Amino acid sequence: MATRIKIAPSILSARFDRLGEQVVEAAKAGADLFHIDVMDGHFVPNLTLGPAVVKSIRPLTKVPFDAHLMVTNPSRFVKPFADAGVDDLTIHMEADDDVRATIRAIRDAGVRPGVVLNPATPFEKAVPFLGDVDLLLVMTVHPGFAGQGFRHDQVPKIREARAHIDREGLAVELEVDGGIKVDTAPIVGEAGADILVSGSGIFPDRVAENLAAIRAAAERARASATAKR
Amino acid sequence: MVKIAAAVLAADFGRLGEQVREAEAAGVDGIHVDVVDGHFAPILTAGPAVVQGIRKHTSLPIDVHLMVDHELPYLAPFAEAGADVITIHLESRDDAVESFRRIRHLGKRTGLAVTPGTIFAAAAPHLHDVDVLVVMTRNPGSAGQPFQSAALGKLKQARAYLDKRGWTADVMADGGIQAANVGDVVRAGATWVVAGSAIFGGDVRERAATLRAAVPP
Repeated sequence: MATRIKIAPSILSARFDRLGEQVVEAAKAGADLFHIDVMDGHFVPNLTLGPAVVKSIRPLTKVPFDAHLMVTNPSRFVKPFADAGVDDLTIHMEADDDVRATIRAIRDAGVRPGVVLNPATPFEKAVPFLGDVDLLLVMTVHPGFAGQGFRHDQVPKIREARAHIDREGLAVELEVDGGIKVDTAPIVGEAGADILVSGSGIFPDRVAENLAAIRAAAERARASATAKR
Repeated sequence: MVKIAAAVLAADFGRLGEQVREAEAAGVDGIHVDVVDGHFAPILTAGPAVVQGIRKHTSLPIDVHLMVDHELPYLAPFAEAGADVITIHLESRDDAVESFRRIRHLGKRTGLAVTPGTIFAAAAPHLHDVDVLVVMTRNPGSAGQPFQSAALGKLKQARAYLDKRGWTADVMADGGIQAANVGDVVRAGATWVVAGSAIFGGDVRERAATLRAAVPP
């Protein structure tokens, strides 16, 4: 378990009329990666953005792009997003395509693969794939819309994932997404997340201040949890 | 005078507000937002957040072109985001009549789009119900493929059908329109043309002027 926690601002909560400016602002504030929510209106009841948006903002920063595919057929979008310049592609365990084949396609495209668990999906479902992925993303809201409240019932799943990854010595980063703000960041940090996604907790205003506060809160909670162990 | 709608899918999404202002200053008549769900056509583009982002930067009409399997759940979100015209596809899985009813109820103008594979006769029964008929001159999601000149016949049929009845619906041509072919679509009867890379991706003012100059009087 790393002591430093990575913060991934989610651009879905940024201002879309000046996305470039918002991305540069968050990069300067120390964003470790940018989380990019891709929704197809089928897997979830919302539509967000596609590769053209990623391509436009790619030249503005060297910070890695972490694309989260909330789509029913992620395999169709591996190449378009890889070509647009993403660094990570995470796919849902609940999507229609074959998980193992899609992970392989992502790896072959030179992108870091990850799997995502919706709140209703137990951790065990992801276990068979953890040897093949770089990221495990645990959702703490049901995906679809920004600004939802954090689901505390998902905290045991984060702990379970943390314990499993450490016990097995897996090279998997544990990412958590949904309702993370300064008040919930300590819960997730304490439970063992490596990467915290935050949208409306960071964007659109006071980006640097929000990002620093979330990081400090999460790292403080993690340090005290580590000391206790 | 034929009107030009600037398609933001070809714009720089890092500075979309600025790009829309540039297009308006360059004299375009509307902003066109392509919404594709990756199912109806094999690309993913933009959602309501994009429309909301550009709304405050322009007083031009924003028309949202929904290339989605099921448009009904998205009519209200796009209306709330600031769309003026909501265009649905005849080939989608939802009922066009119900969609038009809801679009009007939301206080917005209705658009009906047809892909190159759909004959005009299939759209004709709906024309009393629409403010804009969008004739796709290229398959949705196929940027880079050539303009389909076969669609010119459909534009002519639409124009003749509307004129015969004295209906005032606009006919919009969308897909691969550049200075080289804008004359053909206008002569065939388009009252609006959608232009993406013919406007964005370089000097917006210069490109818009080049396109405008190619429009027949």
